Amino acid sequence: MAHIHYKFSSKLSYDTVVFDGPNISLTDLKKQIMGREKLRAGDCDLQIINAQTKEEDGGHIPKGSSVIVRRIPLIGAKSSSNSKTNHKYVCF
Amino acid sequence: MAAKRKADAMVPAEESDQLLIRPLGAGQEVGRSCIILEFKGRKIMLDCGIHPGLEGMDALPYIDLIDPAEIDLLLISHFHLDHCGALPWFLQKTSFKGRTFMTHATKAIYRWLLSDYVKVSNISADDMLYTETDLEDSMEKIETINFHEVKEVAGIKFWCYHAGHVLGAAMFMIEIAGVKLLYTGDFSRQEDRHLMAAEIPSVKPDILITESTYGTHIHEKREEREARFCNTVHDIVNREGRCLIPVFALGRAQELLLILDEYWQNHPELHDIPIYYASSLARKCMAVYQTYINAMNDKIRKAINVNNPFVFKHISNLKSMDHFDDIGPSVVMASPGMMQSGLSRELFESWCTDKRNGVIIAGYCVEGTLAKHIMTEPEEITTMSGQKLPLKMSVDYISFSAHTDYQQTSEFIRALKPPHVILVHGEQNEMARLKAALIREYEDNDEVHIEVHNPRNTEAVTLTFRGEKLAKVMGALADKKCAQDQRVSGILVKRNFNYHIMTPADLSNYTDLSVGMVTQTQAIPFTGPISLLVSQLRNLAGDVQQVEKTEKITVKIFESITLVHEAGMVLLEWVANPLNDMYADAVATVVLEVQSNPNAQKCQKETFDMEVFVERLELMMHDMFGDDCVNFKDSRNLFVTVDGATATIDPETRAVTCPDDEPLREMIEVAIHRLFEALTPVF
Repeated sequence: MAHIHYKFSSKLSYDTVVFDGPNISLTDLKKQIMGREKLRAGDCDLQIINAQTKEEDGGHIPKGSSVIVRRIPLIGAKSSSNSKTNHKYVCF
Repeated sequence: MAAKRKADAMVPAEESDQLLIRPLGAGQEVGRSCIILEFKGRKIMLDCGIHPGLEGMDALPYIDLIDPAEIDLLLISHFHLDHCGALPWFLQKTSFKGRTFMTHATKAIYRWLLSDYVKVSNISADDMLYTETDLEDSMEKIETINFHEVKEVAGIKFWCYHAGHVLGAAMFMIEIAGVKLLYTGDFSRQEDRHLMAAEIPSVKPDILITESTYGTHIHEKREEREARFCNTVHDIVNREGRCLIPVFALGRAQELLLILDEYWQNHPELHDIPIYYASSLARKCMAVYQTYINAMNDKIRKAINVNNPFVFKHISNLKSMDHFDDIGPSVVMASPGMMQSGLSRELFESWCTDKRNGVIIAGYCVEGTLAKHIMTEPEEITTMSGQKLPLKMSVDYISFSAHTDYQQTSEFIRALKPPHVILVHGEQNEMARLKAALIREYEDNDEVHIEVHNPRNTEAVTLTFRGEKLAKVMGALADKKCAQDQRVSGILVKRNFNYHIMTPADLSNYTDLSVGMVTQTQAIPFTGPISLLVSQLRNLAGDVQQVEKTEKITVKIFESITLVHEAGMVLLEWVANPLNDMYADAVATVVLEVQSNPNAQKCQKETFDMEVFVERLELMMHDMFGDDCVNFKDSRNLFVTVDGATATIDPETRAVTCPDDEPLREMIEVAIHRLFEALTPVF
C-alpha cells in the first residue's frame, strides 16, 4: 500500500491517501482527496503543490510524497447548489 | 501560482501604494461572505461565512488562497450564517492568530445560532466542520466593539455604524494610512419596527464594498408589504386554513412577530386563532433580543419603558410537534427557514395537500432550494421520506429580508460618492445589472467619477493610492513661522502612519523616547610633577585652561577633555563623541609618555642650539663634498666650494644661494633642511 500525505493549505495537519503502485496520477489523486473530504460541489478544483519544492506537481506523483492542496474555483463553471443538501438556514 | 503574490522586491509592502481587495466567497454569489483586504502590509478579513446551499468543506470560502497566520484583523458584520458560519472553524482549525471583532449583540446571538446549526445538521459528525466544543472555545477569542467606538489594531483604525438588516448588524469603516474603506455587510436603509435604518457615515470612504443581493429591484413600500402579509395571513385563517411561515429563528422572525402581534391586537375577531413561534431556540433568542434593546431604534427603546414589546400578547412558544394540537386554523412561524427538515418541514408535509392551507415565504431564497422550488408552483413535492405529495396549499412570497434595493443603494452611493465601489453578495446576473445601472447613473457626470468592480471569487481588485506623506512639526520648531524654501531639520518620529518632526529636546515631551548622554572616564597612573604634564599638554594642544575653584588641580584640554590630578593618577573625563574620543586618546598618550619617559621628566624646554647646528652642518658638508670644501668667509655664512662653484649658506635662515650651479644649490638646500629637522626637538 502506498501513501501520499496531503494537507490543505489553510488547515493545520496532514491526512493520507492510500493507493496501489509506485505513483498516482494527478486526476486520481484529486478524485481521492475530493472523495475523502466530501467535496461534491461541481464548481471547485484542487491545486496540488509539492510540499518540498512548492511547485505544482506534474502528471504523476510518486508514493511517499507530501503535497499541499488548495481549493480553487473552477473557472467558467456555474456555481451549483444541490437541492439534496441542508438548506434550512438559507432564507435571510 | 497566481493566487499567492509575493511583495514586489523593490518596494516593501509597508510602503507600497497598492491596495488589494479579494473576495474568497460572496464574489458574484450569495453565501460564504469572506473578503480579504490588503494594504500597507496589513491584512484584514471581512466576514467568514459558509455557503448555506453546500455542505462540509464545499461550504467554506476559498481560504486556501491566503495564509491564515498573516491575517491581522477579522471583522464580522452580523450573525447570519453566511457571514459568520465558518468562524469557529477559522478560529479553531487554522493558524489564524489575529484579533476578531463583532458587536455585542452579534456575539451573543452567534453563540446560539451556530449551536443550533451544529445540532440540526444532519450530516455525520466526521463531516462537520466544527463541533459545539469548537464553538464554545471560539467565544473567548472574539472581542466586542460598540457602535461608533474607534479601535486601533496594528495601525488599522476601525469603527462601525448601524446597518439595519438584523439586530447588531454593523457596517465597518476601516482606515489605513489615511485611506478609508466602508464594508456594508448586509444593510437596509429602511427603518422597520425594531431596527433603525442603516446610517450614512459622516466620513466619506475612498472605497465602498457593498452587498448587491437585490440588484436593480425596487422593494414594494413597507406599508404595502406589511398589509399584503397581514391580509394573506388573515385570508388563510379565514378559510379555516393553517398558515405556515418558515423563518429562521432569529433575525427577521422578530420583525414578523411584532407585525403579527400588532395586527392581532387590532383584530379582535382573530383572538381565538393561535399564533405559534416554534423553535427550541426561541426562549434563549428572545432573551438576547430583550437584552440588546439599545441596538434597536428609538421607537422600541421608548416602548420598552412602558412595556416590553417582545413580550407578545397573542403569540405562544412551541418547542416541538408533540406540544402542538393541530385543531383548527392557526399561524405557525417555524424554523428552520428552508423546510429541508425539522419542524417547518414536518408541518409543510402535513399541510401541503389541503388547499385551504397556505405557506408564506418571507425571506430571500437561494437557487436550488425547496422554498425557491415551490415558488414556481409545481404540481407536487417530494417528502423527506421520498414520498410524492400534491402541492395544493397556496404559496406566497413576501420578502421581509431587509436588504437594500436599487433605490436605497443608489441614494447611499450618492450620499457618499466613493471613487470606487466593489459589489459582493449578489447573484451573478443581478450584480451585473446593478453594476451597469450604477455606471449609467454617473457616466455623464463630469464632477463625480465612480469605478464599479464586481470581482469573482478569488479575483483581486487592485487599486492604487498615492498617499501624501504629511509630517507635522511640533514643539520648539513650530514656534517660528516658516517660509517657503526654508530648511527645517529635526528628528523624524514615525508612529504607525503618523509622522512628526521635532528637536531632540522636545522628544521627551511628545514621545516616550529620551535623549541620553554617554560620559567616558579614564584613570591613568601618574606619579610625576603635574606642572611638567601641563606644560607638555600645552605643547600638544596649545589650548589648556586651568579650571578655577576646584579642590584638585583641574585643567580643560581642547575645551572638552577634563583632567583632574588625583593622588597617584590623573582622571580624564569627556562626553563621548568621535572628536572628543580622539582628543582623549592624544591626551592619554601624552600622560603615558611623560609617565614612562624618565628623560622627559627631568629635562626642561629644549632650545635649539645654533652652534651645535653649524658644527654638524660643517661635518655634513665635509662628508658630502670632501674635507676642503667648506670655509667661512664671515662670521655668519658658510661657504661650500665644489668643483669651482661656491654656495652660500645662511645657517639662521637656512637659505642657500649659488648663482653658478643650480643642482648643487638644491642638493645642499635639501641636505640642510633635513639636518635641521633632525636636530630640532620634536614639540
